[in-house]
Amino acid sequence: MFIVTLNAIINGLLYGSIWGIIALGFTLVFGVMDFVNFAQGFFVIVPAFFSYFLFVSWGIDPYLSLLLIMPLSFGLGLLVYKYVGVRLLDEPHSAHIVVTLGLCFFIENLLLLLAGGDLRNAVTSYTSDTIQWGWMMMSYPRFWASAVAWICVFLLFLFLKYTDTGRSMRAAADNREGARIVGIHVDRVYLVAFGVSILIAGIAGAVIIPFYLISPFTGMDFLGKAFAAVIIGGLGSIPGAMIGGLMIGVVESIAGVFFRASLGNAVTFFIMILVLIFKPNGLFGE
Amino acid sequence: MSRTRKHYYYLGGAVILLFLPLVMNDHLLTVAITGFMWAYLCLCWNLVFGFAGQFSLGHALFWGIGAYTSTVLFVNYGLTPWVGIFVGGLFSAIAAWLISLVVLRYRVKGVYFALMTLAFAEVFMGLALNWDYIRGPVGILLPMKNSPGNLFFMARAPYYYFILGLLGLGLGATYGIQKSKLGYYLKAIREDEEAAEVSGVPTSRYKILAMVISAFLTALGGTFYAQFFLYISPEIMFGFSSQMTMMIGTMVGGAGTLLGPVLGSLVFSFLGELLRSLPLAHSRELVTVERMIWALVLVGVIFYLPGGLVTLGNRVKSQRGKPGTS
Repeated sequence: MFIVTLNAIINGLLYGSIWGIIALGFTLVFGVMDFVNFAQGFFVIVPAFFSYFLFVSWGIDPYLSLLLIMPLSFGLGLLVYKYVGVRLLDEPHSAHIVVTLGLCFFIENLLLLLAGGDLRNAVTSYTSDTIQWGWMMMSYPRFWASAVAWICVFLLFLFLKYTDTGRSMRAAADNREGARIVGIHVDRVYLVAFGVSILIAGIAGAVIIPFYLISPFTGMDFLGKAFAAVIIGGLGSIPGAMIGGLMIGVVESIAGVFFRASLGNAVTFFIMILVLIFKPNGLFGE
Repeated sequence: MSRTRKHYYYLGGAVILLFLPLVMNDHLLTVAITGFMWAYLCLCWNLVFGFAGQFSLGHALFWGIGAYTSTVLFVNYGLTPWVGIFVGGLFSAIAAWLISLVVLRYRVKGVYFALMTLAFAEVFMGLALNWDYIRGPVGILLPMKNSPGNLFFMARAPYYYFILGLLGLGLGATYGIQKSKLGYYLKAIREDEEAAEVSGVPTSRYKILAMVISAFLTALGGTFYAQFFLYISPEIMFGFSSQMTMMIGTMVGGAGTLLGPVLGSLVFSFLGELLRSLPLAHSRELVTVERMIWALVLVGVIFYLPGGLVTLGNRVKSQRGKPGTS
């Protein structure tokens, strides 16, 4: 039982890195431009479906499809910012929520129309492979998905820390007017931040499809996980999103071992409520 | 338009609504019943979002509590839903009161309020899915029989009058709140909570009151859903889609107004019927297309008509050179 639990924790950490980067995209946009994007889950689902159909129709490996999905997701992010996001920047948060929920509803039903409501994943040659070191057992595709997630985090860290655009992004997050005064093109920075946020979501979608069953309704689940991760870690905090993601991954995985899996979601949201009550800025927020 | 003439129009409308079942067939009646039910639920959500400015995303919780309470009481203990509907309302009001206490005590606001209410609904869904006493994910099937004492009818017309009564109740409650001290206080809270607090409005008490009234009314709608559709499950009752419908109808019609939420939902019912009457594809596809239209209309209204459809009339009037009356 001890080893089962340890393996459940490892499995939870692997899943948690994925929930973490989905939350990362949400928190980045919130932190930089104070924008609440309730459609984040669907920017994971759409590329995941795209990757699925590339695999089923032409046998293109989901990891190879990243080459196509990354620029497309980034472009999608730019479009959404240009036609939706920018109009909402000065509106209250409730308007962000309503419009992005409308977007969710549209995408969900478009996917239902095009692909139907079945659960599916891309059954690749390595989907059921495992990596075994002694007592430790890991699913091969989950291991690589989480590796890609951590590469994303590392690259994002470098981007924010060392590039000019990344620095301006942090400046704009800190003080919008101040950034404008010192000559930063705040609008351009916002555009890039939105694109990057959707790009990360797209990467998550492509790496998750070899082992995770998705349907158009899964977008809402991903959204819920992103919220929980973001609230637990602190809204707007990038390390917080990753830590929150890992935490809910582990909690759900353990709940799946000891209780029924469908209770995992409830436990996650219950933790989220507790955090909202006792540490509204997140466990790691200031 | 003078005040009294406006009242005559309303009276005429009400009389027409009362006699509609005489000329409608079962299909049209079902459409009207469903439309009125959503209109009523939109009114309930509007009390919290439109008047108090609290963005609740957890109204599915109150809806679900209403439906599950009356249904479980009826199926397990034989208590008539005529009583169960109020027990459900009471439970739901208590839940709303407890949630509001937590929310106010820890000053949960804005996005955090939305997420917290959503989280409460999700937690309840998880519990309902795993609670065998209320049949878990299988849901509860209600008996199909004619038993007016238990709020079951074979004909549609009684359901129609019941939901029409509820709609009247919702409109009455909204109108009453709008015209009372509570309405002005809530408006003050919505516009600027701190200013309201400083000017002596007991903001907490009134926010709780709005939430409790809204939760009670929403739960009545939940029981109606169970009695009319005869099947409830955790996904239907606590899932997000009912919340989505309440939000879309209210926002499209006009949040914070009396008739906006009703107008919004009825427009969508009408659009849906129109779509179904076209010789198009299968019904499954039609539902998705219909919902895509909802989403587009929602986003369009938020961007181009932020006050909702009810402001359309005023706009036309003001373009004719007369100031809008509201």
